Amino acid sequence: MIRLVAITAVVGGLALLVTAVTSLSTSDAPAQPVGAVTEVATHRTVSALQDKLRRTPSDADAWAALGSAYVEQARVTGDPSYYGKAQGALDTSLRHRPEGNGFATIGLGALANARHDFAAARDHATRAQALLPDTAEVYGVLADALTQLGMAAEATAAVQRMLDLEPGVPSFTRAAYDLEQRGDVAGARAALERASDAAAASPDVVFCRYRLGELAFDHGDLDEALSQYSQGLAVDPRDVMLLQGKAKVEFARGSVDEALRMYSELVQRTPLPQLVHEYANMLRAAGRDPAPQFAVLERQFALAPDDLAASVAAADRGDAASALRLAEAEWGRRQHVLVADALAWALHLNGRHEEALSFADRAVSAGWHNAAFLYHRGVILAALGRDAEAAGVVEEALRINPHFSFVDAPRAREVLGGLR
Amino acid sequence: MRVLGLLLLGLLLFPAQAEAHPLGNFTVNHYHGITVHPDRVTVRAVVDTAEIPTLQERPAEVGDYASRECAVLSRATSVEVDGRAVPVEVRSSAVEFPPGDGGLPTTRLTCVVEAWASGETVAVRAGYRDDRVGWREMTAVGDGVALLDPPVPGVSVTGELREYPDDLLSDPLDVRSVVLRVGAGSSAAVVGGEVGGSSPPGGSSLPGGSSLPGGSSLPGGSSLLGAATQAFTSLAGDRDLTPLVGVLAVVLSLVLGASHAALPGHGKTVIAAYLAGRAGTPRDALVVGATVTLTHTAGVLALGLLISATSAVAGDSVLRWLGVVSGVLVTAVGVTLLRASVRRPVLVGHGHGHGHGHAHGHGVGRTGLIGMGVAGGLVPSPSALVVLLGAVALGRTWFGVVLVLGYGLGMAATLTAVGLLLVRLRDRLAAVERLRDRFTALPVITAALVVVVGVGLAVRAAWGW
Repeated sequence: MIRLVAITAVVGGLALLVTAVTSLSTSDAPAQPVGAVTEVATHRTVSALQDKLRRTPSDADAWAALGSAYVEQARVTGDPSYYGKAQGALDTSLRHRPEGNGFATIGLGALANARHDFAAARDHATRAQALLPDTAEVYGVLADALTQLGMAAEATAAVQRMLDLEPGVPSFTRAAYDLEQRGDVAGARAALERASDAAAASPDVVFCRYRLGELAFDHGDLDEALSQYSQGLAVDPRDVMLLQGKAKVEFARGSVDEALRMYSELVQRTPLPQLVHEYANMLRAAGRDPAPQFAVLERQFALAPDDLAASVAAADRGDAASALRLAEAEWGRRQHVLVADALAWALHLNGRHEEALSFADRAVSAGWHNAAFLYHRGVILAALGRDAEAAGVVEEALRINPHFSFVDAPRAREVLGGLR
Repeated sequence: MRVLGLLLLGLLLFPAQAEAHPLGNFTVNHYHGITVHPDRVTVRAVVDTAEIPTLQERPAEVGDYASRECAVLSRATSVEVDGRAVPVEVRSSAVEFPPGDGGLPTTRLTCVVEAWASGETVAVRAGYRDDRVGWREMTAVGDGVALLDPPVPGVSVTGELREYPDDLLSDPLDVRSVVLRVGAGSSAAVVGGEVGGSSPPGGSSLPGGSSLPGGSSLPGGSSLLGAATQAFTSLAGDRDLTPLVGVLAVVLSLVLGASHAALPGHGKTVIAAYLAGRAGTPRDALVVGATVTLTHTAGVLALGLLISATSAVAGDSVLRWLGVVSGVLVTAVGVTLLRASVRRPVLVGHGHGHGHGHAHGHGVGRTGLIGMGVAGGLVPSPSALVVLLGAVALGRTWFGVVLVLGYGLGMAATLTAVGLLLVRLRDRLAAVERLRDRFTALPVITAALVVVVGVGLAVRAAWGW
């Protein structure tokens, strides 16, 4: 009997010990910030590299990786102060290994692309390609630069090489853009859906949803666009570009005041030139005064020149001479179809319709189903008196996307009415 | 829509920034200098608004800009003393327009606000224009009181937003709230305490590489195991993955899994008790081990997938629910055991044949064992989860899966080893067998123990102890 008591006591004691220890040991388990992990995933890479470099400050590869991570961090957080840091980190990497430093060269290319210096980006990418011919990132930087420089065929080849090396979110999204510019909308959508399926980190998911939404919007499918934007917003309810997409849909559906309210909030929060410009056009379309927004935009381009965007803005606020000067300057640097379209429109506004038409033809030559390009071309044809052709083209523009521009879409309907 | 943003895939949509304004020309930067007096808390707030927002807002054209904005700022600033919110009043306000880039002015708003109260803890949270990109800095000093371990420095590293440091290895400062402990005497700055950043809850406990004093490492980092865990999580985040590093990471994951299972609170004790109480066989121990590996790996993968797919899922609450489920599962197994042993006490007498225990395993059998294994592996280890998500973010999902699998195998190895050890011991010690013959109550006690532990696990997880 004594043994029974003894055993019961021992077992009871053990039970107490077990429960006591287990409850104590949980104190550190919930301390791990599991929910926060994805948001800071990029940041984790950055911090791991920062830690590593504090211990081994002469590690050229780690400096190169940190530089590229800072470029990525700038994109994710929208904080441009990371550009300076990226430059510094990449320079440090090259100081420690001046020759044959392929990863630092890729980083410089990505940074140049982010700063819209596409020719420099292409040169960096070409040099990196010689050093790291089988690295997918090389072809990502190269493809972005070549696309923007208007070298479409070479860009397509770079995207294809990237897809072969590493099928994933970066290569699928680039492939989608490439296909879209060549008029293969279904192919672009399929590529974006594959990218979306492969996306795991929230910034990637958000980016894919935004691109899918944009593709749907640009082809007039408001329901699908809203659905994609909303799915992205479920992941990141504060994402600026997704909110911009949602505001565009609101406007297209006639909720003008709500759309203006959303845009006004967005440009307060993140005054990206693109958003300020769109807000100005939305104010024009709503019959309100866009002048303060155009003034802000003009100073922004003075601080950070972007001749293509500045040309389009000048055309929109009625400054035809500046629009032409800026478009010609940009055309001197790169021959992308967007630049051809801007130059065509600027020439038209200056009364040079014949020249305008040759650039408008060039803008649509690759086959991009871009409603704005077609509208511009239609108006130029009308100015040349080729009314029947013009009507067909403007009709096609409105068929692709009846909401292609806050201001120009209603005008396109008027133009079409006048031509018939 | 007109394609203005050049749709640079994977690139930032805005063009080159002139570097003269260190943080870009559309930032709004905040500094809060807190002084704790014996009878009040004073906050000197400086808001440095860069060129573009200045242009948008045109503060120079508004007559009462400073007083109006400082009133907004005082309402957006929360001061709590000993947990009670104290009204914040504006004492002075001023604005100037220092020249910035491109001949454009910037805005420098200075507000001194104060809250009248005294107590042992002072919590300050800055909420003015908290959705803008920018530098966010706080300092704290005591005047006539001492601040115990203040988590922020006493002196601004930027000279109150006039000169931003250019350190390639640190992120822009992002301190939005601070909790200060107040003691008697004059101020003395010691490192430590808690700082709230903008990073999502808990984000500050990740090694942020910030220039703050007391930047804590991963939780639980005090022990050797903690250090190993940190090395493990940073391995998966390492960019240059050489074969050696890869093998090292897998080995480390095995070791960490094994030691994780050896830590208390992993249901291991429950399983051991179960195996000892019922006449377990080596095969039973293996079944438990295999189930733990499978459940743990599947759990981490599922939760990782869920978190990656949607950041709306709070990992913490999922973990807590899994804890509850695990506890309930153990309780259920215990109850089944209890019923079996109460109904069939006769069976216990069969144990004579040198303890291979064939007769004992039938009450609950495989199902019960698997239940225990599932309970043991159901709650994913947070460090395994961190590793998986880190690998996913780097596009190395498969490597992450391998590491998580290794982690689960390590755990299973420990649990199986403990089980086997107990089976072995019991076979050797005839005394145990004899006890079992004499006291038919023993399985009942074991079963009851399992129930108690199961309820304990569930309750603990539910209340988040």
